[in-house]
Amino acid sequence: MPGPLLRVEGLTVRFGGLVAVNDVHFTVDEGELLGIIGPNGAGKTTMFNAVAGAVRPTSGSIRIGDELVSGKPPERVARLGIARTFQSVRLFKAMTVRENVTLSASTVCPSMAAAHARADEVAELLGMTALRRIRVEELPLADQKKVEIARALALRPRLLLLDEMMSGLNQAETRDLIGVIKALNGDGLTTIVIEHVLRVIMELSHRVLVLDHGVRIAEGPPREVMRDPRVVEAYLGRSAAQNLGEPA
Amino acid sequence: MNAVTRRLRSTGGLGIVVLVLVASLPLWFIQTNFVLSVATLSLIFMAASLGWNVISGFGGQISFGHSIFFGLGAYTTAILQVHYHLNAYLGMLLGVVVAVVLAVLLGAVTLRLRGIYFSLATFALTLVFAILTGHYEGFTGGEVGLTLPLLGDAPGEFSFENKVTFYWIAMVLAALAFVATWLVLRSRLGLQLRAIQADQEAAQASGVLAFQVKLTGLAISAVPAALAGSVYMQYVGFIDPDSAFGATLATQIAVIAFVGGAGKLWGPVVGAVILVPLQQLLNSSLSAYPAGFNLVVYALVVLVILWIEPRGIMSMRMRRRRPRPPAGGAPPQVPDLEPAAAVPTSREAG
Repeated sequence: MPGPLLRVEGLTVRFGGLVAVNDVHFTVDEGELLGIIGPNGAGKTTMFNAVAGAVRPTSGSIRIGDELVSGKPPERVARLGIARTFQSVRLFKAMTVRENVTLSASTVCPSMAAAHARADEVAELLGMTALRRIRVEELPLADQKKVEIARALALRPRLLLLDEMMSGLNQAETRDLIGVIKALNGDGLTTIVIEHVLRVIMELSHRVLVLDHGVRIAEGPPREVMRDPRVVEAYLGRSAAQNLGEPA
Repeated sequence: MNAVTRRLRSTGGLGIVVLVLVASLPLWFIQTNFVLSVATLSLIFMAASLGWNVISGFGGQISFGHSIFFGLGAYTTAILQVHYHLNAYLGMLLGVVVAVVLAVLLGAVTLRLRGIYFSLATFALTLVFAILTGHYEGFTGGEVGLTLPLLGDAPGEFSFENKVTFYWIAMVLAALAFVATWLVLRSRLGLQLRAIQADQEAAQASGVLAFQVKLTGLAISAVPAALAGSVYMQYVGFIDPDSAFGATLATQIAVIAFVGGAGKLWGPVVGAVILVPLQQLLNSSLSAYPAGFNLVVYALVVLVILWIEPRGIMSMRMRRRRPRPPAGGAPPQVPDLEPAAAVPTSREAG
């Protein structure tokens, strides 16, 4: 039995006097889909940024496989196989879909021809072949989010980090994107999802990690975590039980 | 694939037409020495600005110090020729080497700065070079400048009696610079530079080694500028700190590209064809007016062009051609996308 794919130990991120993430431990197994929830300011995105190399941890370690990730710059982390999307879509707006995806492929492929082939392969996987020549700024938000996923996939990641993918999407688009994420995970792609919409987390995650004020307060299967009184109090408020059925 | 080949063919075809036209100019249009010198200078500055376009136009790292590489090209050839009697072509080559080495050294420091801070650093550096060349008189001739020995007609020493030869040399230089930037734009480096310009964090998250890519871009971009400097040196036969490293040249190389369209393949070409002749004309025609009046007019023209279209002349042309949904009963789903998709691709490159 091999060890976990991602191992985060004692991760602390401090901004001046503010402790955004405080001594967090967790692991993610190969093929798993981990959901991370927590109220605003709980440190979810900061932790994400630390894993992706965009924020330097104050202390603690992050490993993918045997490889130490913490302390490395984001471009090195990306090349080690950790790909991410951004909370607010950050595509290369004036470029076409194909150029956006080819860009990230070009950082791991030996030639531009190979990068183009990789981009087309990913576009086909996500059903975006018809959109290849369109500039991304002309696409609707839901498609832009898919391009962000495509751009991340072109890196052939071992771990995919998805930050608040569902914000700004309607019901049908959310459903569609959940399908995409499930399918990718079903093909064996290890994924971490940060999400505000609880239904999404409940539906997607094998396991849920709850952060509050930068501290891990609970972890476990989605349904158990949702009933955990600490979670209910910290994240959902006291009358949360009734609200569980509604979209948050 | 189809659009790519079409784009290549159109750029290549247009390039050949322009080249033939420009090469034949001395036969039917350039009939006076003044026009010939204006045309030659236009092509020289066009080459320098094409180089600028690589790091600043594609990569978004706006340099106001490409005069450093122009000046290094000019001074290296001149110093080697005057003090060491080195062959002019060898001097030219060494000028490029010196410029590229300096580009890497200066870039290692300045490219860690973002946005306006990089621009300011490059501008400050070129002024430092102007002061240094003024200071080390024994070597550089100081503020007085360096004058090349008059060699008459000596093609082996880059010296030609017939000034039309310089025109054609400048044309070849500009054409090579154009082809080089075109190849960069189509390459992995070009794509990664454009991604850095659009969003450096996102590019890095996609695995782009941003610093190395920018450093490579700056080094490549120094080559045409240095060559332009050494051709300028051979053509004019004289250089001083201000015409090599001064604020005027430093900004001019950038302004040519901005007016034509920074980041557009044809931007520096269009910009140089308009601005250099304008500047030369104003210099000679408005000299009777109070000093500096020609510069005021020049600045006004630049402002008006950039006020009409901040992205430069190349974007004006494209904007008029922007998507007009196909008229009448076109099928409703896809057709909207096709023209919209075709325009931006050619806009990026064209």
